[in-house]
Amino acid sequence: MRHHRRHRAAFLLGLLGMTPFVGGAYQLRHSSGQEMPTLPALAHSSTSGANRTFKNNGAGSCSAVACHGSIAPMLGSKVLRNEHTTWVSDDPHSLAYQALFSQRSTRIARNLAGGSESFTPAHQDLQCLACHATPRSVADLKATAGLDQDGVACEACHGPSQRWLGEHTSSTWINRSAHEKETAGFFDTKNLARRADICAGCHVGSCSGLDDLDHFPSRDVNHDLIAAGHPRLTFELAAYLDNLPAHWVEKDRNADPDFPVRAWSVGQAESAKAALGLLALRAADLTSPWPEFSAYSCFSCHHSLADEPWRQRTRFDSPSAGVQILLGGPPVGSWDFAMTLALADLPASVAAPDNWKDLRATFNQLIQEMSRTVPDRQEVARLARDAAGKLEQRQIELPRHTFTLAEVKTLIGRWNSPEAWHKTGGWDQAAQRYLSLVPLHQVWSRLDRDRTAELDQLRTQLVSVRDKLRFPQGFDSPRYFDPELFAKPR
Amino acid sequence: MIVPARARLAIALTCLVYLGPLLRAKGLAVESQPEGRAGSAAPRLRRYIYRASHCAGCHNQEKSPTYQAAERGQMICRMNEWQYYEKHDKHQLAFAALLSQRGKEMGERLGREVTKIDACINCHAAQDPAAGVTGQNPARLADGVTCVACHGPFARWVETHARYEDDEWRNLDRKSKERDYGMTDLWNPVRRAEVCASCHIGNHAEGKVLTHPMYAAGHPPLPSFETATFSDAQPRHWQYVREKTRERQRRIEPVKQNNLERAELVAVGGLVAFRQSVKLWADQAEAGTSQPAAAQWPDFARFDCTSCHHDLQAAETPPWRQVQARGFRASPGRPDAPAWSTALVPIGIKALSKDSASASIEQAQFERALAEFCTAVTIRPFGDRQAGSLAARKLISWVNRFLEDQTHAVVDQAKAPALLAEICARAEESIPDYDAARQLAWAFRVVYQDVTAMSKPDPRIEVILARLEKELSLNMPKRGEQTPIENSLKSRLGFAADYRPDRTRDLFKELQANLAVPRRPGKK
Repeated sequence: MRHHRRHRAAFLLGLLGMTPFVGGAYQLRHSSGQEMPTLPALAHSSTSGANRTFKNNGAGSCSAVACHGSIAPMLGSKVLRNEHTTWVSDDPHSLAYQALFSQRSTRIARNLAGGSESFTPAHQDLQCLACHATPRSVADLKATAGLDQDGVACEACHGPSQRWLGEHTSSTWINRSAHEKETAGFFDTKNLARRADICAGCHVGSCSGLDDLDHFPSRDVNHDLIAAGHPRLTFELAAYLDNLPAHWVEKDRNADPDFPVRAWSVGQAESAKAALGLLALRAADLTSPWPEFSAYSCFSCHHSLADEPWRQRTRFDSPSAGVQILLGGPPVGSWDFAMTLALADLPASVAAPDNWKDLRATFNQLIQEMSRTVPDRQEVARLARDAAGKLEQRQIELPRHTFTLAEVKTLIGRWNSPEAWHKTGGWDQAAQRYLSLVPLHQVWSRLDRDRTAELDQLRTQLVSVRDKLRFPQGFDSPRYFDPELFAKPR
Repeated sequence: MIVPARARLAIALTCLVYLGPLLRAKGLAVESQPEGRAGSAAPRLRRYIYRASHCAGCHNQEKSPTYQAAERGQMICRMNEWQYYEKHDKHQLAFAALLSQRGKEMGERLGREVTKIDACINCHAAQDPAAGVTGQNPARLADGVTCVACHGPFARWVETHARYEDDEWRNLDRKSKERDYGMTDLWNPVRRAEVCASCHIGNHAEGKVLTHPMYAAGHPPLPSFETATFSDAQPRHWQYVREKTRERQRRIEPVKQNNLERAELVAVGGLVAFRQSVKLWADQAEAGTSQPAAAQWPDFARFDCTSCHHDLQAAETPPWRQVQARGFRASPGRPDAPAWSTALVPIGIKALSKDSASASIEQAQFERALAEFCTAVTIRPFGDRQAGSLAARKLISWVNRFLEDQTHAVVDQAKAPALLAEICARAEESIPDYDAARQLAWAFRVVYQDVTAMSKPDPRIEVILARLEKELSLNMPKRGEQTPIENSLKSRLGFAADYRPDRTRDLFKELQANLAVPRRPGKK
């Protein structure tokens, strides 16, 4: 039954000209197994299909004390050697599978079954395992269920080790290029865009669109799942990297002082692309709920009805001003697209301003279409694909740019201006704006030897903004939010 | 000058188009049928919107001959209705609300002047739907929702009934007063509830549809509607039959013996409100996209507001919507049809059915049809339009048939305890949302007051009702006072936002426990 659906979905995707999304995967399926797929053009497809089809060996293959399971970092080694230890003891990814046994997960599973007592437990549900264990194809998930208990393990981010486990311990490995390693299934996590793309596979989501046993279950936290009790997804690469107990030391350009801003900007572009890809696939898959509410601003609907005049004043909390949407229509992508167009302000992006204008126009069309009570699926799929493509073109230069102190200060001046805050319509936008300023502040403090009063002032302000963004106790939404709080002079 | 035939026709048509409203405004409009009474034998009735002051001429003068005639029991009413209306009734402020700051701002957001849109006027004034805004006399609009808005906008009854010394009117029965003269038979609880519901819930055919863009522009959320409670809060300018003198009672034929009229109104009003709510869903769904952009389907306003509009509770709490025993009616995360309007249907069934066996048959039929409707509404986001309206039509014909069958049903003292127990049971089992809980609490209070009107109420129940009032804000804000909505809106919405189903459920449990234990004899 499920497979039939996949067949239908893939067929429809083909009809809609969606081949760029599944192209990489098809290439792989028709290959003899020797031929390696090229990296597909768009973010989410690379994580959902492609070289993930190699076999996984599980975290147990990495945990030897002499390999990555050392108690403490080993001096003089090329790597820390205690990566597995850090992951297993401190990294929440290792608890991803355990989470499926919690009371909350049981509640979610029961609610998804309409409150019935005969429900599939979360730890057996492919929809949950898709992200709560190392991503594998449906067939692999069934064949290697023993790996589930690792949670999101090493191979989830580093790639299935079937073809590289042996070689990566030998002396030849170091001479392999990143591309060769990718071809063997070893993901190039040093490449920031690739790293962000891997994270976004789960933390934003990705539908696979494949149609046989080799397919990967969709990693899709849709509104049905959220309503059943799953937390919503709010991914921002720089903050997530900061919060993750790192089992590695950044090297080369990633060790440069401007890393946080680069991580932020690459993360913004990648998560927007992933969100666009997900939107396009949800739109094109006639079996998925539509309109898909999780694509919209949660809090534009989810607020108790209080007499709050600011809601009428703001009209909508959209990433792009000037779009005429129906009164009371919800804004799309309030989280994922909140700062996307602000990327045009980055020095690396100014080179081709027309392209941003073009992207802006596509975005506006998409927002407008999505604000209709029932958006046209085909049109949304087309616009989302179009916007993702345009973003892809612009985004290539972002990771290559090195930010100077002057550039950082200019960006802060622009994004932290009273006007910018004044335009902030909703909590999502305010939170994303805050998250954009934090890495800028970090880089400023790294580059500026004589820490100025200005810098301290920014820090104080950011702490205050963070406090204002906190949800009141007992709530999972900004009950007393008012944009005026953020627009006030500091 | 020779005018070609086609041009002459065009001129004639143009004249008609322009003159029509003028003629109507002068009270010379085309004759038309009263709403829903299209019997072929009935005479054509002339629509006319009288100003409230017209009625005040008689219904206000304590010492007038009319009043004395009323005193002598020659009339059904007390002739002092204007005093209630003028001093307390907010209906007369309906149009003024459009002129308020909120009204102006809404107009700016909607891009139209609210005093000039039918969609606003139809509820905020005694609007003649046939005339349209342009045909309205501005002075009459300013009166707001006046007497004829409920009693019938037709000249024949207004003129005839005013000749109090003339027996022509006094000897008519209620049916012919409505059919032949155009006076709405508000003594019929079904008609009464329908008239209220046409604005307080909505009526697509009469152009009374509150859409989501109107809400988003700033219209306050419509509260759930329990007819008996809202009637009292108006406040009533009329008496229930039981409160009337014998003389007057005799003039209202037929009168049901031993009927608890307020309890009956709860039952009938519950069914009518439900029918109205479902009908609005179906009418708007069927009209689909053939409506102005702002009213196009799906209109979010036809779904349960609190499905979406609620603060999210932290997972640790855990959120009651996710743990409620009733579960989700379909996939979680789909906006549901308004839940409050179904809350009183089982009460209505129980109250009006002749015995418990037939009540359970009706209840089963209702639940089957409701399940079909709910499935269609939630099968995908914003529902399946066709399946939904088909299921809605079934529900509507079920209500019609049931009300038709139970025309002569009497809600008496013997039925009341079971009704009160049923209300408590529903409140415990269904885990109602705020609006539905309010419906149930209002229903309990009205039925209980009706039962105890002749005796002294049980102080234990009174105490719990007072706590329920504190929990749900049951008293109409600023009861009977003509204050703008701004004074009470924030507090009302606050109650809904802070609603805790567990606390409400406990209170209903206490009510039920106290009902079960009879008071000791001698202790009143």
